[in-house]
Amino acid sequence: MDRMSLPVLLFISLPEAMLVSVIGLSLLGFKSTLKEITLIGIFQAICSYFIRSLPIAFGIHSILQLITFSLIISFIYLIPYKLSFLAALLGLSIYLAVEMVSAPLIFNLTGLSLSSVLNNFWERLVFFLPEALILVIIILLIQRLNLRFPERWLDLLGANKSYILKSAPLISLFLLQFILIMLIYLAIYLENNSLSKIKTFISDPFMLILMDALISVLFIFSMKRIINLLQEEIKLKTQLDYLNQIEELVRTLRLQRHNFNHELQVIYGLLEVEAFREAKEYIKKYLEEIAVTSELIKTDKLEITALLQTKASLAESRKINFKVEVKTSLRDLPLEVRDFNVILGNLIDNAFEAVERLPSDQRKVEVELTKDLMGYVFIVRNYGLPIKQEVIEKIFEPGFSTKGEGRGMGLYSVKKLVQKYNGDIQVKSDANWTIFTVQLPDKIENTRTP
Amino acid sequence: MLKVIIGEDDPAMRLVLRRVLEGISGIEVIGEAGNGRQLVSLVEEFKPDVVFVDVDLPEMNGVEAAREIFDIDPKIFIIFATAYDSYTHEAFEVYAFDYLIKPFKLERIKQTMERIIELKGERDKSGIVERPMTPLAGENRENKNLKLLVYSNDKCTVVNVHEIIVITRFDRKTVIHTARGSFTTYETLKQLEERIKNEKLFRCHKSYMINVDMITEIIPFGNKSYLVKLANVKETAIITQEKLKEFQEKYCL
Repeated sequence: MDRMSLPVLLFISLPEAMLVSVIGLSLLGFKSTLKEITLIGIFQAICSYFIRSLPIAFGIHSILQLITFSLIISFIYLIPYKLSFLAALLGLSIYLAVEMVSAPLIFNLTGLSLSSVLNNFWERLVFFLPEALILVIIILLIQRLNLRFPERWLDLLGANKSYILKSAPLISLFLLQFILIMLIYLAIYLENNSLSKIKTFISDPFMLILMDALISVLFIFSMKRIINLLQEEIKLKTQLDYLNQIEELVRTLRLQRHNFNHELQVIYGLLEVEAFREAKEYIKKYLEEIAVTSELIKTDKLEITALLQTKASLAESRKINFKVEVKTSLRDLPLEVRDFNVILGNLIDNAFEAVERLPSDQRKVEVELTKDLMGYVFIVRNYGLPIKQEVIEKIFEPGFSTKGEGRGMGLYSVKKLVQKYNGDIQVKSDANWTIFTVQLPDKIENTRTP
Repeated sequence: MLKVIIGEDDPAMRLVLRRVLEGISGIEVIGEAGNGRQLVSLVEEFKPDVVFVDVDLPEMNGVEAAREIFDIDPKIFIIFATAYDSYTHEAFEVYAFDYLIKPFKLERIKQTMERIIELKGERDKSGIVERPMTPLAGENRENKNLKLLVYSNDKCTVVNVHEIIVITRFDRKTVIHTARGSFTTYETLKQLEERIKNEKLFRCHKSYMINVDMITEIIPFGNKSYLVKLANVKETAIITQEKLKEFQEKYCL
C-alpha cells in the first residue's frame, strides 16, 4: 500500500508520466505540444494515485499503469490503441531501463531505503531527479538525432495503414516481454537488497509463476507472428518474380507496338504515295519475318506460363522461331518455381543469344518440358554454331563466358540450382543443334524434411 | 528552294518521305542517311534547311544527331519522327521544331513544311532595326568598359562586352555577333557564359545567348520554342518556352 501525497502527485508522478509519454511518442515520430503532454501527465498521475493505493504487490502496478497509460494516450492523441500501446511500451521500457541503472546506484550512494523513500517526499524527489535528468537527456537526443522507431514509420503510416496493424502487435509482444523481465529483475534486486524492506510480487510464488507463464505465452505469440510474416515474405517474393516477368512482357509488347506503328506508317505511306509494288514487297517481307508460332503457351503453373510467354514475345520481337512443347504437368514440380524459372530462363536467354547473329530464317530455339521414368526432363535446344569441346568443359565454371568480362554467372548458377535439387545438367553440341538437358528426380528425399 | 535531308533507317520509309516531300513545291530532297553518323556528316557537307530524323537510328540515335546538327547550325529545322507514344526526352524537346508520332498522316508533313517556309521567310526578312547600344549592367557603376578577348586561330580580337548582341554556334564553333561584325572562337558557349557573367546576356537556348536589350520581336516558332529578332543584326535566335518564362519573370513588367 502506497498512498501518494499531493506533492508527490504534482512533482513526481506528473512529470514522470509526461517524460515517459514524450519519449514513446517522439520515438514513433509524433510531434507533441505541451498541452497534450500535460493532459496525459495529469490523467496518468491521477490513475497512478488510485493504482498505487490498491493492495497489490510492487511490480503489478506497473502493468496496470501501462494499460491506463496507453488508453490515455490513445484518447488524447486520437490514434489507434495499438499505436498508443506501442508508444506507452516504448516509453515505459526506456524508463524502466533507466530505473534499473539509477535505482541501485542511488540506494547504494545515499543509503536510503525504499520504504523511507516511499514515505518521504524529499527523499523521493532526490530519488526521482537524477532519473528525470537522464530521461530529459534521452528526449533531447531523440529529437536532436531525429531517432525513430522504426525508421520511416510515419511515411509508411500515411501510405499504408496495414503496415502498422501488422507490425505493432509484434513489436508490442517483444517489448512486453522485455518489460516483464525487467520488472522481475527489479523486484529481485529490491527483495535481496537489505536496504529495502518491501514486499514485491516475487515473494509470492504464484505471481512469479504467472509472470513466467505470461512471458512464455508472449514468446509463443511472437514466434507465431514471425513465422507468419516469413511465410508471407516467401509468397510475396514469388509474386514479385512473377511481376518481373510481366513487366518484361509489357516491355516487349511496347517494343512490338513501336515496331508495329512504324510498319503501319510505312505501309500506309507507301500506299499513299502510290508505291504499290514496294508496299506489297514490304508486307511480304514483314510476314516472312514474323515467327511462325505465336500461339498461346499454356502450362498448369501460372509463373512458368508467364516466363514462357514473356520469352515467346521476346523471341517474336527478335525474330526468333521459338517452339515450346509442354508434355507433362508441372503442378507437382519438386522445386521452387523461382528456382525453376532461373534455370529455364537462363537456358532460354543463352539460346536466344546463340542464334541472334544467324540469318532470321535460321534462328530456331526449342524448349521441351517432359517426364521420363527417372523424373522431369527439360530440354532447351538451339540451332546454331557448334560449341567446341574445350568450351563445353568449362561452360559451367563461374565467370566463364564467351561474351566478355563481367558475365558468365548464368550457367554457373543454373548448375548450382540443379545440383541443389539432386539433378543433372548436360550439354551436347553438334553441327546442327546445341542441346542443354536438365534432369530432375521426381522426389527429392535429401532435401525433404520429415 | 528548301533543302531537305532525311535520316531514316528503313529504306521503305525513306521512299515514302522522299515521295511526299518532292510532291510539295519549293522543296528539294538533297540527301538520305540510314544512320545517325551518316546524317550528321551529310548535314555538315550540304547545309540543308530542314532535317527529318527518326528518333531511333542505328549508330547514333536521333536525339544525339540533333544535338550535333544544332552545333553545326542551329537554324536548321529539325523534325523528329518516332513511334514511341510517350517520348518526352528533354533534349528531344529542345531540338525539335516539330515531332511526328507514328503512325501520322502524310498531310501533316505538308502542313509542317508550309509552316517552315513561312517562318523561314519571316526570319530572313531583310531590314535591320537600329537601336543604340546600352551599357551592360554593372558597368556604369565602376565606369569600366569591359573587354572580351576572343581568340581564334592566330589572332586575338578585342570585343567590348556591351557590344555583344547575340552569341551562337555555327560549324561547331562559337560566333559572337556585334553591330560591327561577327567573331569566331573555339570557346564553348558555356565557357563564355561563365567568363562574361553579365545579367543582360541571357542564355535562352542550348545554342544561343542574347543581349536582352536588343530583343525586338518574339515570334511563335516550333515545338515549345520562339524565334527572337534582335536589333542591329540580321542574326536571329531561338528561345525555349521555359526560358521565355524565365525572361519574362526576370526582365519584363
